[in-house]
Amino acid sequence: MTDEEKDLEYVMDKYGRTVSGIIASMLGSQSEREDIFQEVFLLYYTKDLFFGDEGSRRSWLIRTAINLCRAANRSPWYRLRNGEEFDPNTVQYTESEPTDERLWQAVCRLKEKYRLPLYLHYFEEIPISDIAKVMGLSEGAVKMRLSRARERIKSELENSRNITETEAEAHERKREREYIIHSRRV
Amino acid sequence: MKEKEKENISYILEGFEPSSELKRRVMERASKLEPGRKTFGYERTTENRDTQKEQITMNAFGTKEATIKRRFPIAVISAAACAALIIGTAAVGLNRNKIEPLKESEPSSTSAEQPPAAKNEESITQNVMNVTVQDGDPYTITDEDRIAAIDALVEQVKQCRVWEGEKVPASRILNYTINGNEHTVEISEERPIPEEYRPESELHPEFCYVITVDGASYIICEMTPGEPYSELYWATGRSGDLFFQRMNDERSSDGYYFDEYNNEPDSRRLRDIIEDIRTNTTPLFETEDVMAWYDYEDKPDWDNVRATCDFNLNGCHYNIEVYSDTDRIVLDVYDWHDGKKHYMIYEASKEQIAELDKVFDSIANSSADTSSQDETDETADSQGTSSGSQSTSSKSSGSQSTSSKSSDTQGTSSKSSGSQSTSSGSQSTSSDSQSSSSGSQTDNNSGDLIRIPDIEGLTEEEAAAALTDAGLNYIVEYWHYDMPAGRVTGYNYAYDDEYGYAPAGTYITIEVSLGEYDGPVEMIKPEHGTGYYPSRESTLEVPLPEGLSGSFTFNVYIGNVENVAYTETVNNAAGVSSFSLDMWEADRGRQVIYAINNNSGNRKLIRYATYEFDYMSGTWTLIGSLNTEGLLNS
Repeated sequence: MTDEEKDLEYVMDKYGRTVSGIIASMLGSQSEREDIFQEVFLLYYTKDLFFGDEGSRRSWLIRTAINLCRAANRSPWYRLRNGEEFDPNTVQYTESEPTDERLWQAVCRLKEKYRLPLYLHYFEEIPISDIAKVMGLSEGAVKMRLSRARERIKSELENSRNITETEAEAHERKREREYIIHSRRV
Repeated sequence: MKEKEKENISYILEGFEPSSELKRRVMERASKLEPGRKTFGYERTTENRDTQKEQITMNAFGTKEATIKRRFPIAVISAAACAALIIGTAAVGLNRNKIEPLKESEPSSTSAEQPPAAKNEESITQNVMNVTVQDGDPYTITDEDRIAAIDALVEQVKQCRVWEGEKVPASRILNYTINGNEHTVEISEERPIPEEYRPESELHPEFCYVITVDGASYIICEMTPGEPYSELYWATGRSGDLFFQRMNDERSSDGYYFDEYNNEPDSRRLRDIIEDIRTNTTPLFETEDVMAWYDYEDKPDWDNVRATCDFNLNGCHYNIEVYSDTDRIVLDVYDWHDGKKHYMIYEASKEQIAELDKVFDSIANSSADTSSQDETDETADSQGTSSGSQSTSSKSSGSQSTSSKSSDTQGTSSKSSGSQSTSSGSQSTSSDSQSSSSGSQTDNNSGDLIRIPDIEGLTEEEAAAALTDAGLNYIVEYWHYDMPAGRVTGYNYAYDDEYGYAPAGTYITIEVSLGEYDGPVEMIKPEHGTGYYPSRESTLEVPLPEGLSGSFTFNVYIGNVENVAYTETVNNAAGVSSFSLDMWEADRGRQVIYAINNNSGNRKLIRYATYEFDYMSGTWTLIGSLNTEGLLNS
């Protein structure tokens, strides 16, 4: 195995899940996701690239995955070629529980501008400053999208919560919700 | 983070782990391709844009470990996730400690906040708190009472739980002397509460600050009695820092406008209006008890809020909310003088509402055209603001300004600039379409990287002007997106290293929204409004002008100029009346055709035509007109 191939293997091991998760949050079918996954890492392999640090390599992979997903979203060719129906919720859990599916489905129902920063931040633990760079947004804009995404996810999950809750629980959640919507900071 | 939440995310992430078979396929395909060169390890600071050339060609294991941060709590589930609110129980005991002069005295300033003394002036000043911040200019606080109040809050922090975790970087550092003792207080960024520090509270606090007082660190959490979470942050804040949101703003990209920056004059005007309301109007409801506030049923409906503004003035914090369905306004005010937070609802007069809107307009306008705005005393005075004026330097932090940075390493890179694809009507996917057409970003060896301006939310024309002004080229791409039609949703380009910077002349793709797709509902998947519209194969016939000669290549790009989706080369255009592209296109998809004059030295992209596809009829409609002049003069 050449050094370059070893590097590719290393990078796939290190960032494969991150890239795969981003793709899953943006594309529907499993085969599409696998195609894009391959393209991201093959682009990495074939391109001449400069990285200031490890973070910039990760950012490159994230941004490339986003670009390719967006291109795929805009290109009906992908879908027609695969002949698959689109389903944003077809995450292949290895071992899932109902709560997992509910959470992920709620994430997938967010619009992309909320879904992506939320996934990057809360699932992949990417700092807001890095998300801002990768998405070409200000940090304030990322924070705002995260805030809105959280509100929407929470609302979504509450709506799907078991309706057998007690009145006290409902009251408590109402209070909590008000904390969220009235929270401010300078 | 709660164990259950951790498990949820962990389960989901497990599902994303690529299979060994998938990795094997990548390796197999890679073995048949020519690898690119990876260069790794030069240092560059984003501030001075200097690049130290320490190129190390990366080998397989010559990589640095990425910084793995602590797992962020899954606040998406947590009820109080984004709250930055504190129970207002931590009243500041103003013990009025005597502030003593520092070693070398200077005249005490009457200004509450001033630009700090020059660094080499070790004297600093007496009765002054110097505040340095991670992002932004330093400032000073000279109000002795305020410094005493802050010191009281610091003393309160020292009663909080000791932080035994790793050293946390400071985002704000306070230096002051009181009772003869010098103090250094470091306030961290707001950060998630580690599980082991999470207070037992029905309010589910999520965020904390780590405060280091003279070397000893403490943790203070939001919504936790006795912990001055917001109070310390607000009391030490820069006067004029402001966070403004407005819904349904026509100027905004998605009907939702917000900005965060420093605007002391407008903060003062708002404060004056608030004081006017508080002085001349009887509140419908008022409390200092946060629980009473949240239990109060008759608050205006947040869903109808149309504008809110938070701001800091002299260490006091104000929040004001106005609504679309009522003249009632919600105010909350934190005042370090009494250490209390006041929650109020007022029925404002039409005049007061109008005054508020006037200031909101001013805020929106001032933030829109600032890349670096300096609000000065003169500005404040000219606004006719109240007494007790203070001076402060202020700076917009909401917008990006273009700047360049040296990047010799980038400039000397040998990126692929291979020949362009010439297959007629062929599609090429990302991985096999790296052959860059002209307009390649790789010809420029200027050595400078330009910061790509923030164009989101602008119109196409505004974005184009911003990019051109910055020394960049652009192409345009349209797509359906949940932003108003005509607004820029973002940009795209093939990039190396640091996203957001590009060599001069790089083609940046301006992504322009066509609005949300409003075709027949059954044709789309509502969960994903951005794609998968009904689509089909279609041939687009594009006329060419009379009198054209030479060789031209016509491209349609997806994403950026390195992704040629469709291409056709007309080697001898003389006498050719049209060319065609065989395309797959989605309903109401809009494509821009760019031309390259292969006989021209500059290889510039010429925007030649824009077409929109109708799925039902299978026809293409020309949007605007053909740029025949541009083609003929190329």
